[in-house]
Amino acid sequence: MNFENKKIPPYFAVKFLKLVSDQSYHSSVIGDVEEIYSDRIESDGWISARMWIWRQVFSSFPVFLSNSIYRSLIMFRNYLKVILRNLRKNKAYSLINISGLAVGMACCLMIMTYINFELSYDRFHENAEDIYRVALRGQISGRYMEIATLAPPHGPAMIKDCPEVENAVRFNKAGKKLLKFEDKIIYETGIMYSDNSVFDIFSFELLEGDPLKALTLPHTMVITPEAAQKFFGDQDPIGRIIKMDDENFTVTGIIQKPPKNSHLQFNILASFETLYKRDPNTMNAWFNFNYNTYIRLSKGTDSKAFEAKIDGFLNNYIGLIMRAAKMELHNFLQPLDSIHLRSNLIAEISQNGDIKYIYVFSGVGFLILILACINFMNLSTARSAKRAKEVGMRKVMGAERKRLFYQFIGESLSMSIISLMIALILVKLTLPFFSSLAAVDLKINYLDDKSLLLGLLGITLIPGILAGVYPAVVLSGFRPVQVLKSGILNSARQSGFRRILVLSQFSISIALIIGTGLIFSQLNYLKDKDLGFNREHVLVIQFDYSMTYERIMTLKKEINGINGVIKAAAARSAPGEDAYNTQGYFPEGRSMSESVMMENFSIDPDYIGALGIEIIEGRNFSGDISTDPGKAVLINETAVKKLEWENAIGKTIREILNTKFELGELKTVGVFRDFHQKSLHSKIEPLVLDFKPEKFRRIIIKIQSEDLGETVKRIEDKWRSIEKGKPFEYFFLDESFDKLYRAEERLGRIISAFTLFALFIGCLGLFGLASFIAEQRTREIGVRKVLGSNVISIVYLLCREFVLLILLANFIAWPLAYFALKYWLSNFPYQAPLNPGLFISAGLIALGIAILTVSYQSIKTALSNPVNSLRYE
Amino acid sequence: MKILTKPEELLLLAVCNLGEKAYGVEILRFLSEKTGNGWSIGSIYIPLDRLARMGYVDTFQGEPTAERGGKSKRFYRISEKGMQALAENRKVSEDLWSGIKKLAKG
Repeated sequence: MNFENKKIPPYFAVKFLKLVSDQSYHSSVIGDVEEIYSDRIESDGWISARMWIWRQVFSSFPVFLSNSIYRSLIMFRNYLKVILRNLRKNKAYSLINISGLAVGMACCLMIMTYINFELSYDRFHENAEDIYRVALRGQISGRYMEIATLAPPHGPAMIKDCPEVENAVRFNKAGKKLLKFEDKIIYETGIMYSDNSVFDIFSFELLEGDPLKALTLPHTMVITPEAAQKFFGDQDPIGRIIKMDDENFTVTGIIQKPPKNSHLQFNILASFETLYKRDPNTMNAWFNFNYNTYIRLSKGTDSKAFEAKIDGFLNNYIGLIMRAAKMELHNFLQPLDSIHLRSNLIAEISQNGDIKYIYVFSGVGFLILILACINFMNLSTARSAKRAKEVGMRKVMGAERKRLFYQFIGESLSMSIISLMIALILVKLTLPFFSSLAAVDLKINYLDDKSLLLGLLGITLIPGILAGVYPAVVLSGFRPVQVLKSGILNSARQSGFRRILVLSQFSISIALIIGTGLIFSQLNYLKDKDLGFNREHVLVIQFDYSMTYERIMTLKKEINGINGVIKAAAARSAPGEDAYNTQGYFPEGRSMSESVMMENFSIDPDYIGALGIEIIEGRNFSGDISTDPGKAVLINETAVKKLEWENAIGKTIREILNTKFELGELKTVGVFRDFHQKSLHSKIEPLVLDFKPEKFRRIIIKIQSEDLGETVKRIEDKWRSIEKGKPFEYFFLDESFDKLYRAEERLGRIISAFTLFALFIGCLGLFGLASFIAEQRTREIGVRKVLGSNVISIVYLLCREFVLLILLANFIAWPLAYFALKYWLSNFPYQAPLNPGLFISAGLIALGIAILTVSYQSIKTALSNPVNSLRYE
Repeated sequence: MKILTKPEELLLLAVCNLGEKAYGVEILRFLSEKTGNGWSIGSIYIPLDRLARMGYVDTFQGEPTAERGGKSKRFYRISEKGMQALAENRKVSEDLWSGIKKLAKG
């Protein structure tokens, strides 16, 4: 062992011990420590010396700590005093600065809560990370499809064949049904058939009933407390019998309504066994893709490897048929928590969100925070010139640059903390409004949510430090002699930096205005576009399959006789409803292995007339021709193109009638002009309209625009007199079509609200900056006025710079907005044209607002009496 | 007047007692001997700095010596104000003690 080393006391100990005295005495303290240390070595040996020095470190620690806290408190008191003084001295400036930042923070916080909510979907299930939905993709009739559903035997087969699958559950959406209990007849929504394993896989809370067997028997159901209340009031629901589809269901349990952030939503779960009991044949068919199937994998399963393994799962069961029909189907997994935001397949179980909107909102939130930061920075640097004297004085009194740096950072941090407080209050007050705007029920629980707390910390620290750093660096670098002599220091570099900030601020604002404008113009375009049929004043009555054909026809006839009704028609569905089929047809002249997928639904002869659809070839259905019902079809132009038919009239299409693959022949009697039977999110597909009265579920009524309310009343009375006791369920076609664009409408409303906030923040900053500049140039303006300048030229002088900046900002904002919006628009097959007027008017709006903001100050300054301004200082 | 804390009073007394020898190491040794307690480096320097700031002790830098590796000693000497403070504090405690006859008679 090297003894020489031991003579020197440990580096760290010395380093620490010297801190107990003032800096200028450090070396003598070190000397003292070393002296005692070497004495100790001589008297007791180095081990004892070592022990002594470490004992010194530990026993000095408390004294040192209390001393340093005491000292920093004194400094902090001083800084706090200066901060408060500055706030009070410049009330308007502080108000602008703090309120701008507070509004920005509040916006950001609300967006964060919203995003948090969207991201929290389906994570509440205990085994969420092991639950997957099995989906289907592949070529079906020459078309690539991704489908969220499987055939009924698929789930059980997976449990049997794959040891990794612990359990599987199938859902089948029944949607809205007419339910009866004693004398209560109510349309209930959110009805699903599900396996009993739903209680094992998911964490939905069964309040009453046995999770092991509540849904094992056919014709059993569990219902939510809300639904139970509707039917049974305060009676105990267990064991009671509800009639649905003319079948009696026994209530076997009460289930908590799924939380808002669950993509599986239901009011009633009926047992899956019911479906088997009803029709065992369809339930054993492998080509019946109608059942959303979820599996739970055993803990620690490699989901990627498992996915590869089940890719060709169907080959084991229907490989032969698939090869014969030239079909290729693969399975893939969707993690449960990814479904809400990232899945958009055919036959989703519920309307999903879109991760793109999450990106858009994060972007907007971030931009607004940037805007607020820029404001804050801008105003702080502008003020900094005024504080040059303070800095000079502090430096003369011995403040180090480091200390001054911390002081300014501390100041901006405390400003941002004050802003955060105000923002929290703002959020508390406005969250309900934002919730209704975004159509979600948002709650903020700061303490429970770690990511939110982290976010709070972020949005306080980032603006505080960002805004503080620049002034801190600039100010702390002032040379005392210079600033104390001249009093004001206004370097060109600083105003250049400010210009860049204003420029970027307005670029963001203008881009946001353009975005808002475009979203609304696209929305209007979607709502106003000619759909190929007339949707104004069309009332649709809904009923379920319990209505017989005769009753429907009686009702239709009666309604046709009502004063104010132009025409009533019966059909499977109205346009815009998600109630059409996509099925394979075998057109004339093609082999049986070449099926063509086409959409279809059933109508009666009056449908074409009631909706004003145009027949361009052939004829409409007719009630007088006996070969029409069930044997004739109308097809649209797109279908003609798809089938590559020269002359469609008279040609036949075959379709599969039942599970035994029996074929039916359909004769094409007419071709109608393409109309949008789905929302404008999708292109027009080949459509086949047949005339199958047993499928009718709607009566579609074209009404005269006069006395609309009266006519609806008369129709309702008629319904009540014929369908005694059944609820009258109806909607207007134009309204239901508008509802299809709710997501865009919501987006538009949210973005426009935040655009307003962004503009507000920008204007606040501009106002502050303008008033500061006006103040700085008070003397100059006084002199100009004395020398004969008029008010207009002075206003021009003060506004010119800002106007130029905003014009320049347009050129930055336009391409940015253009590319972002092009991307957004690419989601829509039908796009509103990008109107250059939109870009120009956005620029003009920004310019107008900016001029208004700036000119108030400028005019005030320009009008002031030069005597006052020249006496200034 | 300022009431001195006990460590401050003891430090001032130590500085008085040590006279020209009064620097960190000596003070530490002296106090540890007299009180029998271990005094830490921190508990010496921090109050001493405070006393110096209040003007109760004067400090000056000694010549750098080779035996301390070129690091000078920092000496303390009690100031006029420090003497006064000590005297006042002593008077106060004597006044207070005199009220307690029993203990004083011992």
